[in-house]
Amino acid sequence: MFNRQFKFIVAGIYIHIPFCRQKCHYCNFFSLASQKNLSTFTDALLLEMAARKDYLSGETVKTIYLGGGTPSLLPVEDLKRIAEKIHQLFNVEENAEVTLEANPDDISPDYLQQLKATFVNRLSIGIQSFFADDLHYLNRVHDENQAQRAVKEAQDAGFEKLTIDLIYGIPTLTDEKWEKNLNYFFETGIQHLSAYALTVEPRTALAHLIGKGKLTAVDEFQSARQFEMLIQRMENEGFVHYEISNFAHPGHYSKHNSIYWLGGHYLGLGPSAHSYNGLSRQWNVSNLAQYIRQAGVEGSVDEIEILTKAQHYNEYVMTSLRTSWGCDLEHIENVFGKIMKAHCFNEASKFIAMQQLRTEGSRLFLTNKGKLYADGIAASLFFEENL
Amino acid sequence: MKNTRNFCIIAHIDHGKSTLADRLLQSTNTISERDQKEQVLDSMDLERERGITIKSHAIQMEYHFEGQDYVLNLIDTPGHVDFSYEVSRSIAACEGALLIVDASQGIQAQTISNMYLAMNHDLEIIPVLNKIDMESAMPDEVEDQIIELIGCKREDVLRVSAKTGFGVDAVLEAIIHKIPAPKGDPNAPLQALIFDSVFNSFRGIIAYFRIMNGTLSKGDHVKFVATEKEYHADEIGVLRLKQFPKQTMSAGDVGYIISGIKSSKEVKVGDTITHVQNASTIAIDGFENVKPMVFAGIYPVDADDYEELRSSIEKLQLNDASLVFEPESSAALGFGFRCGFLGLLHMEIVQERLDREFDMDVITTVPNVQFKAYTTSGEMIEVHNPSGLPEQTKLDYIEEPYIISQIITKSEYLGNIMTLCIEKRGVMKNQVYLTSDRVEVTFEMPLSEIVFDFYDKLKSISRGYASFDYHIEGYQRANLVKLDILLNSEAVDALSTLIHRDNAYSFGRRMCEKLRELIPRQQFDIAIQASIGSKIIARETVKALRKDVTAKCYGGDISRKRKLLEKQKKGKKRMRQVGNVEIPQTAFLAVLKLD
Ligand SMILES: Nc1nc2c(ncn2[C@@H]2O[C@H](COP(=O)(O)OP(=O)(O)OP(=O)(O)O)[C@@H](O)[C@H]2O)c(=O)[nH]1
Ligand code: SF4
Ligand SMILES: [Mg+2]
Repeated sequence: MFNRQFKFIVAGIYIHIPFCRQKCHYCNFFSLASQKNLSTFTDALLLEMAARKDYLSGETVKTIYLGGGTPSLLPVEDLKRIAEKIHQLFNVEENAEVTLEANPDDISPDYLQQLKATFVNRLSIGIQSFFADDLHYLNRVHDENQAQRAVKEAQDAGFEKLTIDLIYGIPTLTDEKWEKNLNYFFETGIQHLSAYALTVEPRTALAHLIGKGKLTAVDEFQSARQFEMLIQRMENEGFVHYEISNFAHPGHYSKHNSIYWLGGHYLGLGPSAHSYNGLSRQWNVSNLAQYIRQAGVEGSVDEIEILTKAQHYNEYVMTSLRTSWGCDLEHIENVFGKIMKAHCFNEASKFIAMQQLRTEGSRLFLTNKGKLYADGIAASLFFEENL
Repeated sequence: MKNTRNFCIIAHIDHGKSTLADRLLQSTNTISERDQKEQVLDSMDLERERGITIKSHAIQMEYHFEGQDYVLNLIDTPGHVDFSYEVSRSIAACEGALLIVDASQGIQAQTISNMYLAMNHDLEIIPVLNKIDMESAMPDEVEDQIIELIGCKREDVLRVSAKTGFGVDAVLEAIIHKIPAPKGDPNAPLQALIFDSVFNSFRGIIAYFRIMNGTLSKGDHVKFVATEKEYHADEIGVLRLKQFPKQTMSAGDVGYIISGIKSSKEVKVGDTITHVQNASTIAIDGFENVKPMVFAGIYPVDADDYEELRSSIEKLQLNDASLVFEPESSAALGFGFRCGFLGLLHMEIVQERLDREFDMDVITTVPNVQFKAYTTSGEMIEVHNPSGLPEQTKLDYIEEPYIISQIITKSEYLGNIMTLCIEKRGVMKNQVYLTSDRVEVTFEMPLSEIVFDFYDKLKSISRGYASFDYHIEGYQRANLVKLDILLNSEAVDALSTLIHRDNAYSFGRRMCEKLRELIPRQQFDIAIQASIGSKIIARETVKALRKDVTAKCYGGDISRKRKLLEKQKKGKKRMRQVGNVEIPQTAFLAVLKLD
């Protein structure tokens, strides 16, 4: 209905693998540290796939993303079954981007060799930091040696499309260490980086431990400073800051994640996975036992949200502003009408004056300064339903 | 008329008036089993939720007793001190009163004040010792207190449980035997006292009256003496659970009249209804107009709603004659109204009713009492708002209202209570032991000191045992200063207060601290200062927000985050801007939240 830039509309499939070896302190994803249902999980997943094969109305699937949780815990055999089923049920493009999230502790030359033989052609490695104390603070399973080795082995195995995750704003991560983490990244020659500010989500172990005084609290000033360092360093190295937390050399953007930001359609499979087909957003149940019981029927979907025009607009503003494609006023006028466009520009002018937004043609972009306040700016540009 | 009994139920708050009314309605079959619910007369949602009576409720019962049919008109009254004027009006329509005393609590402050109201109107008082089913009941001890207080005989005190229904028949018997039938001459010129009025969106204003003399028939051409307005009595009737129309009513009867009145201003509670022809020359002694005790600004959250707010407050006023208002404006809040309330509970209720019944989002400012400012030229100005104070150079002195308060407490808490009252600039006037361990102390205090947190403090230092009643005494000269709050050097008029000089420093500091908690961080530092004149007495800073951006925005995050930001946007829209600082609504009531 309110599709974005049509030329960008692509469809993807997200698959959530809800198992981890242990829970990281900051984690608020749906994942279980127990692997007891691992064997029955894939069966359920295949059932869900069949049940929801029409969600994307036959659109060509250009990207597949296995996230989690820890997809690298899934036996390669299961991966193959998943691949087979997807190709059977969906119209998958020949050279589709197929990403798998892997944790360094799962990566070995042997595993990578097996992986090569599957449909996976892009790896996202959860490094987070190359330093032991940071990894310890985060309660990650792997250590600094595994972090170093994993990247090298993935490159040696011939995975050309690679990305790693780093986290900044960790209280143990000094500015010098952050510089070093970035240096390590540059040395690898990898063309894509996701860098996240450590966020204390409610009801996580991290929130609890900080509350109890057992872990040092996260410092907003450090986080902001390291974000600024990040932006600067990445710019210097020729990376495009194509989304608040994502950087890539031209041509190496994550196609899958871009779907989220450009209003593309995606089918989310697995517990807690989220789907969007341009009309409604849907969530699967965040409960593995229930998921396994219900996956064969549409019942795996827990919640459906049909977006109103204003909500569509708000999502567009919120996500597009975060990207290097910017928020296009012309697009707003075409899709949402003159009033919304005027509203958007009106609200934006204050931030333009404050040099937190800038315009280029019909588009609004966050300036580097504005990137620090992306949420507040987006909220200001929002449109209230009952206006 | 000889078989009519008009009575009200009066007591301290929560002693069980409305519950006893339930039992009376049940025993007289006024209410069917099906309609029965607890405190059925508390019909407003707010009353039911809070479990308190806010407005008096009149209802008629029929009772067959000793071979005769009786008509019993009952008025249930509120117990909270804010609403004591409701009690005084109800009393004027009655010949008797049930004075309820909770057997576990004993005589409390409003037991005494309401009893005196009733006695001053020569009402027959029937003492009822309620809640005798409770384990903590002390019937003998409380009975002694009652005998002491009203000087009745032991056998006059009825022991009742409004919960179980025990003793209710004896109450009905006492009503019939002891309360005199109304006097008055049905053939005399009409004199009916208006003791209440309610607004009904379909029928307009409905006035409740008690006929003192004469006879009123449907269709009669009547006149309201004080307002000098004339109407036709379109409908008259008695108040059952629903209105019950009648053709004729006469001296002694209690009922309602609908006469096409649209505006509340046309009906003055306390006014007399008479006929246009053959008018009574004597108006009944009405009641004094209720005087508001505290004033606060009420502003629409959305400035466009100003006119709608006006009409909402006007409609509220139809049901609540004690609410007064006048337009005012504020640099920080725009256009709104200065409203006068009977107390903080009343203010809270008005605000809540505006929200529920009229869907009006409002900002309420710090309440204050009414001051009298005397200028150097000898003029007196009534000040309802700190910003209404004359210029410093023209100001001679200020007077503030004082109250006489009665506090009844167990003697073990007396020390704490004295300390509290003295802290609040109180001066002890009297101290009487009611029994060996219960004492009544009388303090003279500035009203402004009890407006905020006095009542809560009193309750907490006495473990809920102390009760408190007050009335305005007069004005006294006071050493008050105007305390201003500045945000990034700009004064916020809606946050100014008039305060005693001795308290200004600690108050200013606490205000700044509280505001620091309530004002959200913005992209720049915000200096919060308290000042007296040009002198800064306290300062706090809200640190700039360094970063406001979500790290992850994939799939499901989008919807979650959108909802969060939508909420934030809504909150932002409701904020007020002073200079470049955005102030949330809650900040304007910060003073009430000081600890
Ligand atoms: N155990 C017991 N509880 C009672 C009795 N009478 C009333 N209550 C309880 O006391 C509380 C207050 O009763 P209400 O009837 O609302 O008191 P009220 O005097 O009308 O209160 P206000 O109108 O707010 O002044 C309620 O929880 C009643 O259930 C009684 O005889 N025994
Ligand atoms: S690996 Fe990812 S999903 Fe698993 S616990 Fe850590 S943060 Fe959560
Ligand atoms: Mg009551």
